Amino acid sequence: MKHRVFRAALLLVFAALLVLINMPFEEKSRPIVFTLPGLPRPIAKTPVVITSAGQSTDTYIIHDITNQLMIRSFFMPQAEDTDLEDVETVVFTVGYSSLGAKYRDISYEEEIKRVKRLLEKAKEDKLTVLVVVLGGDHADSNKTETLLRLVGAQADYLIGLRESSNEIILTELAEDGNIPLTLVNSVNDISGSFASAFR
Amino acid sequence: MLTGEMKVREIKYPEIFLTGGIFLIALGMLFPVFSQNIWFGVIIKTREAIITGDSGHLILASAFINCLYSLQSIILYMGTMLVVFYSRFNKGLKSFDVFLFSLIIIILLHWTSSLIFEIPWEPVSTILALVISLFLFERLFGETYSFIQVFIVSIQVFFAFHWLNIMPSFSPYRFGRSDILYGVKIAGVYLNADTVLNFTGFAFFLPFIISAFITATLFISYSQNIRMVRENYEKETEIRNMRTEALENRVYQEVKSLVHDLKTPLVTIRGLNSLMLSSNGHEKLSEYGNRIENSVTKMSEMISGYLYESSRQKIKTIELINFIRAQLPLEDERIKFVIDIQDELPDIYVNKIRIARAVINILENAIIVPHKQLYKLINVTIKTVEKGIKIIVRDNGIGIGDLEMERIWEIGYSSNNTSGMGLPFAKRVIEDNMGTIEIASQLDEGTTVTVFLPSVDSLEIDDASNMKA
Repeated sequence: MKHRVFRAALLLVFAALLVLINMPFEEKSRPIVFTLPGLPRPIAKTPVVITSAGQSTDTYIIHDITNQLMIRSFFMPQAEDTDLEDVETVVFTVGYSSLGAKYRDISYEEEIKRVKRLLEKAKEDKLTVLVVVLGGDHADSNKTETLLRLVGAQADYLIGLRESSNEIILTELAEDGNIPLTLVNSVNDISGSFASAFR
Repeated sequence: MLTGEMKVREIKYPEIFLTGGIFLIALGMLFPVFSQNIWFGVIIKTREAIITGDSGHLILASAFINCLYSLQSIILYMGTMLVVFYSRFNKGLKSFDVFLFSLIIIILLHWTSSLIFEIPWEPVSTILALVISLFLFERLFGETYSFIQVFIVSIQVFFAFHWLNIMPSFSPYRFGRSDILYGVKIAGVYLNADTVLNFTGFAFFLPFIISAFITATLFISYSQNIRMVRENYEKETEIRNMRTEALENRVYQEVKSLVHDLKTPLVTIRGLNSLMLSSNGHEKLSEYGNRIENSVTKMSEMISGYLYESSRQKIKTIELINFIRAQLPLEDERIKFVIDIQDELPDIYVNKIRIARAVINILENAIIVPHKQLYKLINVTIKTVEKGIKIIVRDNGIGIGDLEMERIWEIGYSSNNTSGMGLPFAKRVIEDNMGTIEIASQLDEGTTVTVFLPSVDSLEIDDASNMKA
């Protein structure tokens, strides 16, 4: 009897652990969202500051795309409000990485504050804010979601990946703020949509 | 058996292993601290891959991540298993409960470490690798009782499963969900290297997992072989002990025979003594006295023969033959003895009692051997040969096969359900007396045993030394 109780307790703990550590088993419903493949006319001007909201490595991809498109840009993953002087556009690549934050020696709370300062400055200077989200479904989704909601509310153009966990949030943000939204099928397709904001 | 209590009991200082286990757990928990710079190296490699467009950097970054995850998992796994086994915790628990408990503990340790040090971990691949490792642990440890062998297999399992994390095609199954692996995979897709990552991941997973199972099988088979060798050794020891015991029994039998043989002169002594008491004539008394003296001498010889194995005397061959005939039971009518004794046999220099016993053993073998003819015919020939005499015992029994012939001198071996001591004893005694023994046999026709004993002349023994002996 004792053994059975002990085994049942162990099984319960194991199941609880699976739920806690890993698996949000519920699947978020994903209605088919139709979005524009790109903007009909450019909304952003150069020079551009490319920064990160969450310090994930996705920022490097946007930097690379910007270089390929030959858009005049400054790559500053930890840009401060003072770095936004003399620029016309700020691009946020949203995605929280705990390892990236450690690498940049910045905590999550400090990152939130930094992003807020940037957004305030962008608002003051009436800069164009572009938001790109490449990640989704990874372990730090909740922190990424917070950052996305923070940045997305002030965005002029949202670009994200179709069929990622951020798809719903992006749709909500686009609807609430009447913000143009492009959902691409793959990371490789971002380049065209991103370029449409400038040309 | 997962518990392996037997092995734990054999270890003299389990507390050393327990301390080692705790140390490993601490090391595994603090692993993110020690490996932080390598983790940062992964970010740098990913950045280089994106900037240069070289997917090779991504594979390198993946290898770094895989090694880091595997090392931490292995250290925590080893530490936990040592603690679970060398603590008194697992006593009385069933193997499945220990399995589940170990699994939960290792998951908790991983989770806690990732929460404290904010270095992500991979739950799916880790749990899968743990389940496989614990399963192999149960099979392997139950067979080999070796932690080292178990850990060698587990290392391969952990490396195999963590390689699945870099495969973009496994992302829907929640592999590679940590932000850094997700970043690597997104970079891979961006560089059109997702196929490369898929292939690399699988190309490492498959050999590692196959190797793990092959290694486990080899370890198990090696352990089984060792166990078989040990069992065979134990069986051989047991057989050796049985033979020794049988030999002791034979000695007992010999002593018993001696006692039996001693009865004959004693009966004579008693009979003659009673006659002496009832007789009045001096002539008769003298005759009986002589016969009593002879019996006493005979009994004394018997005792001396056994007490002093190496002692030998010069005797007439016919004296030996008569002594043997006197001891041999020849009442069975189904056995026909034909004894052919050559005239003028030389004297021999032997321990009469022991040689007689050896020849009796040979004759007893001839008596008991099964035969296909209507009656058992035993021919005994005693003849002079160069430098001695030969005693040839020939029977018409079923004979001895070639395979049996190779083993007839082994102590304890017998083809007639006897003690198997007769021939080895006879050989030893005959050789102790400078003689030889040979056996020739044909199946269904019979067996011939030839005993050679050297003559006194051939040994060049003078009377003086004879007297001394």
